[in-house]
Amino acid sequence: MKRDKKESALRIMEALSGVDEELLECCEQQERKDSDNGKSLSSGNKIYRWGRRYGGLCAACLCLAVLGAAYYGMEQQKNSEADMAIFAQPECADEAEVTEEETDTDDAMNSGRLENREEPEEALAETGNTNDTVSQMYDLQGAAVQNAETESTKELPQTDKYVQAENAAGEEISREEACATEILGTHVPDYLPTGYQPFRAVREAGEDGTKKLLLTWTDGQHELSVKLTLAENQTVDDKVSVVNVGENWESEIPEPEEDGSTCFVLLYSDGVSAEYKGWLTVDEIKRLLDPDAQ
Amino acid sequence: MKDTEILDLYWERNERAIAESQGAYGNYCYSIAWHILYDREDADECVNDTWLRAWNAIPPNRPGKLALFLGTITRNLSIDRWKGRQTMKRGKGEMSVALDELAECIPDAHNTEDMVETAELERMINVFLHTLPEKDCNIFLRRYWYVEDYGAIAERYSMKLNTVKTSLFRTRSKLKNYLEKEGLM
Repeated sequence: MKRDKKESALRIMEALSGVDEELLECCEQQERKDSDNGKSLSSGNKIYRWGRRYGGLCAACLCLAVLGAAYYGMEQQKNSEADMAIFAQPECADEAEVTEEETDTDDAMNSGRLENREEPEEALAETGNTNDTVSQMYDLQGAAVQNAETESTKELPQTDKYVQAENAAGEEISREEACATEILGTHVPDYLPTGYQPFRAVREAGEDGTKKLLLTWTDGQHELSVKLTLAENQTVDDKVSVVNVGENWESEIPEPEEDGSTCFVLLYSDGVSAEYKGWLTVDEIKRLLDPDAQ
Repeated sequence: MKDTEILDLYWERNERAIAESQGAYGNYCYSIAWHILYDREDADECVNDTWLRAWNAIPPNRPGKLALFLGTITRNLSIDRWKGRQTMKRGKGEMSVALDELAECIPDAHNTEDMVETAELERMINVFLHTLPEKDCNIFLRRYWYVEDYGAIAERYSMKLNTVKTSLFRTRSKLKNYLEKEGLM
């Protein structure tokens, strides 16, 4: 059977010699168009290679900078809200009294700075008043912070809404339901890696109706995942290696990352792709994803 | 020298036609042969045989695109020579890998004897290729007509390796579905 297939493949290869000239010409013209536009293979490639090599690093630094700026902005906003609460208009008598005392404190502090302080005792008395007022100010600040925290907690229900919205895109299903999923179900692994709990399955539906199956296992420390989808719907990150199923496909599994995890996409011959992320060894990965076992 | 002028030399049975062809398209034809055979001597022989075949074919033929005409001759000669080498179990290169990939397009329940005639297969493959987006078609031809490796294709079209691999995988899946649907195999 294998020899038959190879002979048939050879016939297709030979039949390709009869391909229309316009298709071959189009193939040649695209390359010529690129070189005419100045994207010559030699110079363009240098920029392209530099971009490939350092582009990821620059993108990562940019993301970190944006996140840092956003976090800093949020912190500043929190602090300014707390400050605003301290100097807000008083609504009750107590606060009015404190306000007056604040004014007194300011005067006292200002007078304390005067070079001609005549009576040390008077200055001490003013300092005592100042301390009381300052402690009241701290109390107020604490109250303002508590108010701010209360405000932030009031936002939680809205956050929950977003979390609910995310969960609405995927529904958790049983193993049986996962295995029964059309096309994708045939690739649900039977193998349970040593030390891992049986997988949790989530079925996701894209906006265009495409279905994906996300299977996750955990051993308490690490989480490994396999996302099954139809290859035509797969959006592959260019940093992720793509491996085609075939003889000795496991030899093409990329080396682990710095954290020891491995990430790649395995393309099955029936059009399904499996995006793997985890900490298994090559043998374990093969047992998990081996198409012959499925 | 322009193609029309070279063709005129062929029609005049002027042997300068071969020298001019070699000068204009020698490297192009050699590249095609090399990708299939991965052997300098065999590739040189195929290119030399190409000029002889072209000399015998023109006239009566008067090809519109001389480069593609000569390239096709070289390709056919190279594949024949590759088949001969396979019986002797020698050689290396992308040809075996490309054939293994194309074998994925063959349905499981298939018998070589059931396959349609070559002319019909050519016609159907042309129809299939015309249904593909231009980029996918170019990548497919680069892989299976020119037998270039993934890296060379990615570099040629300034694409990423994974993009080329995914494109070819999808195109092969489409070809398999197409061949099954048309009942060619």
